Amino acid sequence: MIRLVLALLVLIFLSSLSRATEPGTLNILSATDTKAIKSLIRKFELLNPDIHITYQEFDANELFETIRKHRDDPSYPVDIVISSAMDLQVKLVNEGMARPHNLVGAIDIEDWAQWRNELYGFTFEPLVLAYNKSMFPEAMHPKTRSDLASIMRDFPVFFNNRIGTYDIRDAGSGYLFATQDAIQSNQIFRLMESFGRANPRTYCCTSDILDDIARGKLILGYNLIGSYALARARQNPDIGVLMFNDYTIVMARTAFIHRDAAHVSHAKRFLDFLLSNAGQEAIAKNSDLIPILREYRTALAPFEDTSPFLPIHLGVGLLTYQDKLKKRNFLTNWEASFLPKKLLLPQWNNQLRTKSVDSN
Amino acid sequence: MLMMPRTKRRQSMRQRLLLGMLAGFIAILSIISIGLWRYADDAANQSYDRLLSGAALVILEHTFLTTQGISVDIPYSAMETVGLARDDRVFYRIYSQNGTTITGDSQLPLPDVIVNDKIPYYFDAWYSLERAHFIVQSRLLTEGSHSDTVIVQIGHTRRARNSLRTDLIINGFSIALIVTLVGLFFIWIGINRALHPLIAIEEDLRQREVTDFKLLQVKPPREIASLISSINAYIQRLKNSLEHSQDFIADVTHQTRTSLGTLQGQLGLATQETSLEAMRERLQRADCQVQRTIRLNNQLLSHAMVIHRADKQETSNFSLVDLARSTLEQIVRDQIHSHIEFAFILDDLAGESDIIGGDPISLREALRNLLDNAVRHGPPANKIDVRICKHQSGVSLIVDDEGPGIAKDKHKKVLERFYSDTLGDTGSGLGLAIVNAVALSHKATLSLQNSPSGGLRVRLDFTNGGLE
Repeated sequence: MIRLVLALLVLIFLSSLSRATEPGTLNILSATDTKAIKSLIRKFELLNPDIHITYQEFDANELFETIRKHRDDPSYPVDIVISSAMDLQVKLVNEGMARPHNLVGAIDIEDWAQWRNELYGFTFEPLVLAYNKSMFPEAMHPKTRSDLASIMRDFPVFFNNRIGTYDIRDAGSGYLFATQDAIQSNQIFRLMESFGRANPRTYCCTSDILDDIARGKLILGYNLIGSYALARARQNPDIGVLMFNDYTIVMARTAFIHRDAAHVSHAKRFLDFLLSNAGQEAIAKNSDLIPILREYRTALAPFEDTSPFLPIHLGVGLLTYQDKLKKRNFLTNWEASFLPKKLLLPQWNNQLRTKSVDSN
Repeated sequence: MLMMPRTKRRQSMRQRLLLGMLAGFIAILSIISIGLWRYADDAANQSYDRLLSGAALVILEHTFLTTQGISVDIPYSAMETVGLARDDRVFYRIYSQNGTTITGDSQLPLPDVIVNDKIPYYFDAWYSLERAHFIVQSRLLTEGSHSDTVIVQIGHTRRARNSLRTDLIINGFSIALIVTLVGLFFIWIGINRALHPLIAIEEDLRQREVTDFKLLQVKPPREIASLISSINAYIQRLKNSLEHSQDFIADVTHQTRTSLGTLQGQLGLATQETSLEAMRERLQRADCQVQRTIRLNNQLLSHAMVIHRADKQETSNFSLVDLARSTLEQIVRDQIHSHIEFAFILDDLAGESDIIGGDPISLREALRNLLDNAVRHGPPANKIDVRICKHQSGVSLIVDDEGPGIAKDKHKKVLERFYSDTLGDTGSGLGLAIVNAVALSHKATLSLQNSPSGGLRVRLDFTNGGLE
């Protein structure tokens, strides 16, 4: 199910539709749940009444392809590009799609979260395990990834078809998270194989996995975006969030100003806002996201002591797994260990989903 | 409005030395800067070329030959290595020898040489709107009987290189600048030390009384020793000159007082005479004394004038023959009623010009004195010859008379002031002194000889021709 929801959200003060090229507009193309970021954008508009934001939501891969497709079309309305797929963002910036901007009045941004004064990370979102509290008793909770592999081996029937994670062939962020796992630990393919034996369900996005956990279709989901999971856990007492003790990878949602941005000064003001103290506070209070500034990361307080956070470093290292051959090899290995052989079909996406649902 | 008098700024030796050294240092700094630029460029390139080289080697190590052809598994460390140049974009391509891109960006600019033999080749090229630096390196892959060459091209933008180069240049230049400033500081101290003797001399001269003619007592360094000795010589000359003037004034005072005293004596005696005859006798003597006094004063003024003119160095070119003739004519006119026989003899000058450089007024005064002396000291039937002839290197003016002449041992003495050979005469004792002064100021040689007729011969040998 390729999500083609182009949620065209025109968040303007007096709700008059403004054209993309009008001076007051700011076009944001983003791979972020509109729901999670909506109130943050509204807050920015409140503070900057002269700017009306046009927000378009994409999947990470869709966003990447859209930006590349229009690379030679300066009239394409895009000012800011936001995505959780840091590797794709780095790739775009590496290809020269960004415009440099030295932040004004910004917080101290750590080195890993910025690149070339073009790409800036503004959130701090750990990758977590989310679970259905009623289905997954605390006694079973794994401390590490190898614990998880063990319990899945020990209870194959229990977990069969009730584990969810990204389909990394389709989800840009999912691919990033899986490759980061592979860089971090040699054991990751062992875990993948354990997943594979349990006939996992694969998804495009964290929110869909969370939906199925809430519904009781899944016991747990692996490598979910922590900010979404924690937000959902706050609303739904059935959902629990767990972070491993061996390591917890942290993704930063990144933003850059597009090279051909028509509203550069607005875009700069938006970036400045995201990385200002006020913006970070707004992220903490007005959105489901977790700000990168430590003092506003209260949502992560329960996990700070037990989970070593490993942020993904922005930089050309992220290009490695975007190499054509490397990616092909990685996906082949992933498929081999993760997916049951019978499901390797050309129209994998819909069929996989259908079959998974059918076999349940 | 207060107007400051505009004084021309004196050149400071200190300033001149310092400016000279500054110019030297600036020249050195410029040379250093050029060298520094090249060094920094090389150093920055070498440092970051190592990253590229490391990455290329690691990638090559992960290339292998399969049945489908060349394959590569780019290791994370390769990109991380290049990524040590933190803010630079990275471009790469892995291709086979026939140019087929295996993976990476097929649009990358190619090197302008054929790459082989595992030797890395580096080059700069524009890509994606930025200048980038690339390495190209190859590797021969063999699998069984099959072999192929894989080439890896990897490059990055120049931000880190340029920033390292700038850092190196700024650091190097700062050090050179500090060295320069320290150098100039020490030169300043050195200059002050070197100038110290001069400052001491200045102090000494400034605090001196006008009458103090002590020589400078500093121990000068070699470079200014001649300056100090010149100053000392000048002080000595000044002292002599002043003493000379004082002597002169004393002499003049004495002479005038004596002369007037004698006159007063004669007049006093005359008033006491009872007989008219004796009184006339006294008055005649007084008259003589008056004449002598007048002459003395004239001579004194003449002498002062000659000296003054010599000091002022008012010179021009004039004909000695014309001057001698006209002077002689004037004397002859004055002596028209005497029995003195004057002759003007012009010898063959044999091509020698009679034009001499000097002060014609002084010289006329000198000749007049000579002729006056000849008339005064000679017999009534005197014969006075004025002769102009040639000598080795110029013309000579000779005046002969038939007077008593001057004994040889007194030749030197008579040239001094207030010395008169003939006692009780009307001579002032200044005539020959004036001639001597004029001769000196004309650089002519004055000599006293015996004339063929037994009288005095005064000879002036002018060495120079005309003025330039």
